[in-house]
Amino acid sequence: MTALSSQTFTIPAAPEPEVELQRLLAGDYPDRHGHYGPFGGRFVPELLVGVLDRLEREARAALDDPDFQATLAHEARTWVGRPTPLTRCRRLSEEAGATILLKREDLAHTGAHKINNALGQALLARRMGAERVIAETGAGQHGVATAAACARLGLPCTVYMGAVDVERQAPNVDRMERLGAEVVAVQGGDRTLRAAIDEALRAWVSDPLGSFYLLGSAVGPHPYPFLVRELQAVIGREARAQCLEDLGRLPDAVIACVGGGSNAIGLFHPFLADRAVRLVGVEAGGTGPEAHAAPLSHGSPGVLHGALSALMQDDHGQVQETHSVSAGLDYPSVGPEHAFLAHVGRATYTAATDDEALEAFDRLCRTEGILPALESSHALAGALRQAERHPGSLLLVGLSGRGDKDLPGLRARGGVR
Amino acid sequence: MSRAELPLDPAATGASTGAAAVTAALRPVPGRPRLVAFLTGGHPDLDTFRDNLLAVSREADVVEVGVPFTDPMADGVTIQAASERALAAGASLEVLLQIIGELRGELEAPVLLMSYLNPLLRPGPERLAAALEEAGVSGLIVPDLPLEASALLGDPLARRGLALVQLVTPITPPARQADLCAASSGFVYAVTRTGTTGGGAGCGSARLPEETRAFLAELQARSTLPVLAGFGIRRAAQVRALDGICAGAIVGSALIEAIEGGEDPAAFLAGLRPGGGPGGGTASDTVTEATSEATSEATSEATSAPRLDAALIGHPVAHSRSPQLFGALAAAGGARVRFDLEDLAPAEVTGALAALRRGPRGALGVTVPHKQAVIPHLDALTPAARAAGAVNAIRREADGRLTGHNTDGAGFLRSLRALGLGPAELRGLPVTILGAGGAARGVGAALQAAGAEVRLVTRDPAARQGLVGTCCLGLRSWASPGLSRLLRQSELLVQATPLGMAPEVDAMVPLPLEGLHDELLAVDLVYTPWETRFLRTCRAAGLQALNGWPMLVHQAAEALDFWLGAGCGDGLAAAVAVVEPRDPLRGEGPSVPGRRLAS
Repeated sequence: MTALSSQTFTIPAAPEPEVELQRLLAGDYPDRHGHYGPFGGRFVPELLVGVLDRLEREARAALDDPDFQATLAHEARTWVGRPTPLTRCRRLSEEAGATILLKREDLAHTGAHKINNALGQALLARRMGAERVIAETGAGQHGVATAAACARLGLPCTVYMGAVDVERQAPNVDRMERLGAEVVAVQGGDRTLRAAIDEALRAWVSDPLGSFYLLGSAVGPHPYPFLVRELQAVIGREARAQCLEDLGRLPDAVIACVGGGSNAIGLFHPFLADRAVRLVGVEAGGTGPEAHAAPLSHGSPGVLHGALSALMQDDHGQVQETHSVSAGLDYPSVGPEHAFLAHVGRATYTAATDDEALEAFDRLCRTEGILPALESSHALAGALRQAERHPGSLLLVGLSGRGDKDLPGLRARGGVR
Repeated sequence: MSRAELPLDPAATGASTGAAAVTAALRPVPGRPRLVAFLTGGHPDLDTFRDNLLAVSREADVVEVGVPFTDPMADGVTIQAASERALAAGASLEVLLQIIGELRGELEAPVLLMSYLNPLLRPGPERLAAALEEAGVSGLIVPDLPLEASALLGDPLARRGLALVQLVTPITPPARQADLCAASSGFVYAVTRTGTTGGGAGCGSARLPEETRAFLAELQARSTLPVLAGFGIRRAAQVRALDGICAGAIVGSALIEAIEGGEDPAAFLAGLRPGGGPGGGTASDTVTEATSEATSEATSEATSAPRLDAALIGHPVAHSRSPQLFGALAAAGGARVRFDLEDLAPAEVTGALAALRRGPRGALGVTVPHKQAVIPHLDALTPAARAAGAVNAIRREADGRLTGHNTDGAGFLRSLRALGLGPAELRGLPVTILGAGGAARGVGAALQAAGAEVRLVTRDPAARQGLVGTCCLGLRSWASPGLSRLLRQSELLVQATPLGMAPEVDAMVPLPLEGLHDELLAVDLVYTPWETRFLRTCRAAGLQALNGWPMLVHQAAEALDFWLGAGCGDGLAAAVAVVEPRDPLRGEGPSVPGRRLAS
């Protein structure tokens, strides 16, 4: 009998990483099958192939349409509150020994970067004549952003949320319902984000022509990783211009947390051609190598939710359970463009543990009067590590969201440190 | 009829393998639609799977073995649950190939593996193809591997003569359908509708919708390979309807549900063949059978004459028809009954339960508003009471302890069974329940346990805690488009809110009734008035609609079983027509058999 489980599917190191990166910069990736080098693609049931083809056509047409971009920019300015500011940390920088700049997505409407994507896709859904919008959510931030954008545009909206998360994130369930969305508590699978995506995909397969699936991160089948990156790149474009304007130079490193990776890819992408700028993604290290949500750090190549990327899986290709103190990073795979950037060496990925993130959370609260999301606290933890390694450097950190949503969970963990 | 008896079949034992063998085994034959049987590999455990695989290979033309995966995005609840069980039992690609390889000489039909892509990637395409060949597997069906990426696995398979079956859907454009047919090997898998695997296909009949018929016929005309129809096939009539249109059907979720329900999978498959047994029964057969059974039981019951001393507590209770119902039973000679009505304020409940512990009265019925309030005073709850979170029947045990039960779910299922909707019809049936109160929970839990796909719909977000059902939809308003979509997919609609009950007879859940399934059965749990505004509206829309009276009757039967012992309630359903001559399937007016009963 041929032994199968001892074998591991691997992707050999890129033979010509520089050529591969230039393809990405030239827009040749994603290619027509949605690949970023060996990653990405569109591994979906046949029912969704035509729907995704249409979505890609319509998305590219919309992104190239000045009227669509003008509407998006107007809504972003007058409803979301863009541009978000760049905040220079005075006390934390002094403590850390490096200059830390925060890109303040926590100040965007609904409290996180998720609104950039939700607004853009909701405008696209309206343009495509969708009857209704469906979405998944983990911690609830994407669900809230989607509910808000759909309310703004008058689109009916159904949000799938794991039953565990419905209980953990009750305030966000309330917010979504106040904003007019229907929230479906998913009882199947692991009853968290992964099960919510599974169920949203099933709902979409059941009504592929009438519904628009508003996916919340830079994951999933092509064109989602591309579309979400294009809508989130506003973060990096603004931050890059603000750096040049405020400081007259680019940062030495750009640091962002990575779950699915939408805020990170949005922040990184406009810096890709600035080769002197180090790009550092910080995954959820959980309690260590045994319990984490860090597929780029500890996983292997695999296909989940329609894309080939880094995946946490066992020897049989079964997807593993994840753990993170931060619900928004609690996902066993990651956007394929991140897998590609790691593959060609343009970005490096590291993991911060629950404890490191909580420590960084406390430090930012006390030194700068900013209460960051636990997701963003992972990026801060990564930045503090960079500061130790590169004293005196200029570090740009994506502060992807505000931490008010995390307070009940933190209280349950045991009060203020 | 077993396939070995058919002279046209290629091999009596040890089926040959490979794409060509699959194509040969599925060659269209007039009058005998082909069957591909799907088994989740390793479900419900490895040994049972091995037995089922052998048995099914003697009945099916091709067997499809599903490699369980943690994230089966194209599958409905049945196969999701089966996959979880199989994974827990230790199933993996490697283990399944080992089992299939060991049975190689005994399997009488070619075996295909159905797997999501990720488990197949681990060994790599070449090693995978070699292992499949070695185990005698004829090829693969990979639902998340689209045509564009097929070369990844297809080339190594093709070099060994193994199949890679392509799936075609009703929304696939014609040019792409042609490409998929040309690229497929073994057979062409026609997905007959949008959605996931499983799901229902009509409460009673199995008409093939005209567009499905046209889709399948065109596809078979387009393809040189046999075309097999999948997704939602569960009845002999559906298989029969495919005769002359395409080669046959793929049976998956229904077979898994039969196994879950303790049925013999080979016999279940045989029943799907034209003229077959168990799956071929009609609704009217079932009704006749149930009725005669009930009558004979009622007669035999007369000799044992059990005695019931009970009361109904509630506030108010004067309107209750329970004494009449139980009186009807007594009149039929089944039991001696004393059944009182006691109108109790909430503060008096504790005292009533203390009195019950002392006797001589041995049983209490409970109605609003006390169904939850009694729970803290009881010593034990039946699973039905726990699921419902409410008690409507209490029994004093021999040792004086009090047990609480809820008859909503069982009474509802009994009432459906009397209409010909038995276990086979309920499996996979998409059901929407309006409301999330005690009755909704009890009915929902029972339907779910019977294998139906239950969705509860409520406007009260707080009511969602601890609810049954795969999903519970929270609505801001009854006029929601989400509800409209849900209703279009439903085949049983249960109105479990108090809206429309006398005296508020003009109240009604404002439902979107356009585009509903024309086989939809609407049931209102309210029976006062006899025809609620909800039922009137459904009937005006051409739907079959049933009021809450049959459920009440069957609940009384269930309560008698609980109070006096199993079988004591069986005579009640037959006797009760004396109490209420009106037909619960119709509005006010004389009783005539309903459409479903007559069919």
